[in-house]
Amino acid sequence: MSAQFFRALYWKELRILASSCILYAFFTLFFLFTGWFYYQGILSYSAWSMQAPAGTVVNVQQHLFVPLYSNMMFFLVLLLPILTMRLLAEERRQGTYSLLVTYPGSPMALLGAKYLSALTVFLVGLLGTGIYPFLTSLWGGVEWPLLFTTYLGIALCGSAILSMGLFFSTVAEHYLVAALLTETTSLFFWLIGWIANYLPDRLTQLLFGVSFYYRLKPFLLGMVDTDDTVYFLNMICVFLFLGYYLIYREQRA
Amino acid sequence: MVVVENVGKRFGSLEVLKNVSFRVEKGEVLTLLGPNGAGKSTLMRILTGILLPSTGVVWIDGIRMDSEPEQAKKRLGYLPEQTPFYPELAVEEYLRFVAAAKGVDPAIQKEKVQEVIQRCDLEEYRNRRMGTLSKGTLRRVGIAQAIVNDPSVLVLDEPTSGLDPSQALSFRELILALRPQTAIVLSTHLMIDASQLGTRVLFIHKGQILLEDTVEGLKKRFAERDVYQLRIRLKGEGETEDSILKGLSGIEGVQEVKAFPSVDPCVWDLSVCTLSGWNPTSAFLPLLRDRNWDLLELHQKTMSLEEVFAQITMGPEEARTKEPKGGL
Repeated sequence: MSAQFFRALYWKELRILASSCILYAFFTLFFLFTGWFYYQGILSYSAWSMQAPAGTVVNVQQHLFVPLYSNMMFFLVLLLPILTMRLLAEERRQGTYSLLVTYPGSPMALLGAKYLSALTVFLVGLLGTGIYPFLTSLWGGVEWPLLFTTYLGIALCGSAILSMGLFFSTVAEHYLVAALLTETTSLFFWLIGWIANYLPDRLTQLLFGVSFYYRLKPFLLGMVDTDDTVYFLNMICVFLFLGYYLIYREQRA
Repeated sequence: MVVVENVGKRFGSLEVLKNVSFRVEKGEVLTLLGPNGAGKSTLMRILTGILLPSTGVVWIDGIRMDSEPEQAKKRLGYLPEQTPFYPELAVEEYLRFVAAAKGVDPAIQKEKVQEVIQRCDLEEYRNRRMGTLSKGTLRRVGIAQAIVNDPSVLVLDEPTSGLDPSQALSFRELILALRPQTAIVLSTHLMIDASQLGTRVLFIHKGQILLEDTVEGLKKRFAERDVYQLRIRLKGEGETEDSILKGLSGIEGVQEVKAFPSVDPCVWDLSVCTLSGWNPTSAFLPLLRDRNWDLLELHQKTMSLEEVFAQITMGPEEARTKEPKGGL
């Protein structure tokens, strides 16, 4: 029963996203900025190549892709909340939420379908950025395994932000509030690693541990650390559970 | 079939529902009546599984709502007071989504959607986005989504609110057509809905069931006195309001008489309150003959559900003081 409800809600979410300007705004901004980052990256890479001593090859991953994907992820921190802001806040504002919960689906199926729809859009966008390594591979050596870990890291970090966004959309009465809360919280988790540099050592380690940037960095360099993977998976589960708990508690108010 | 057993609901220290129990069988329409804040909406939210009761149990078609919510909800149709809608979706698209979400067999989903579109007279709107529809059409989409899964229990919150008279009439006809195969619970403020749709009425006041009866039973129960309305033409010279009132008050069994002049100075409208079960013809006719009055109209005024409602919630004396004044 819940599976049918899940499927129906998932397709409905995608349909609504496709008919609103959100999807187009997301893809336009995303490809505009990542395209610009790539173009700038190529310019910098050629400058370095020209300046490098004869016979040496400038590492593509380190000098092109690490800055490109690091900037891309920072941009996603700002952009992903627009995919999740409406998911539940808008249902509540429109009153459709009170109908949805009378349909034969569990709160988990409801949250899961909403989450998966946002995740689908994000992953489609991410997959589209594969054009940059593909173009690069036409004239230079691209280390595909390193790129695979980069994409894995970005997918995990983005999924954690989406989960956070869904939670705030469950809490907030208005979707703009949901977007603002997600934006602030995910920026906090991104920037906290930088702030940590100016704090005492013991605190630095702790803040590095929760920083999105420092957890993502090993993936960009081609390392898949279980610690970092579990951290992102934990973030996803914690925020999904909090959303579930809110719905559960609301029913038993 | 709906069975509500000792349902109570508390929000912190506030007790919104106390020990509510009732049963609605297939083919019955139960109308929930009560003033604002009586607990009707909370009861509806509990019936539909939006809220869980603090005490008691709700059974939908023999399935407990608290332990098997998905099975129970599959047998349920709900129309909230304000029709919620997705402005981006077209009517047919929306109904297909609802059919799928409610677990309608994929093989017959298209057929079911087509059926409710025809039944709710939505054919010309099927490809229109819901954001462009009028309130009346949206209400029909609302009922279409409620019945697309052939529910055995239908819960309707203020179903005709905001509709114009002709839309309300066709809406009532639609609900009556659904009655034979469904147990319907509806909440309304409109007494016309209660008297035309409800086979039974349940009065809720301060979270408790105050009274449960059929519409006719309720009217009878509260009609402790009969009210007759007459229109007469005076022929004799020197008849005044006082003489009319004196003449009627003298009849045995008459408790109260009010006289209202009309445009024609010889024609008067009278409102006569009598003891219950009083025979008007044998009492009035001798007086009419003696005074040479022509009887133009005589009818018994039945107690409206509004008056019953006022008597229950305010008490008979207070309700009587608020009765509208006027002639026929």
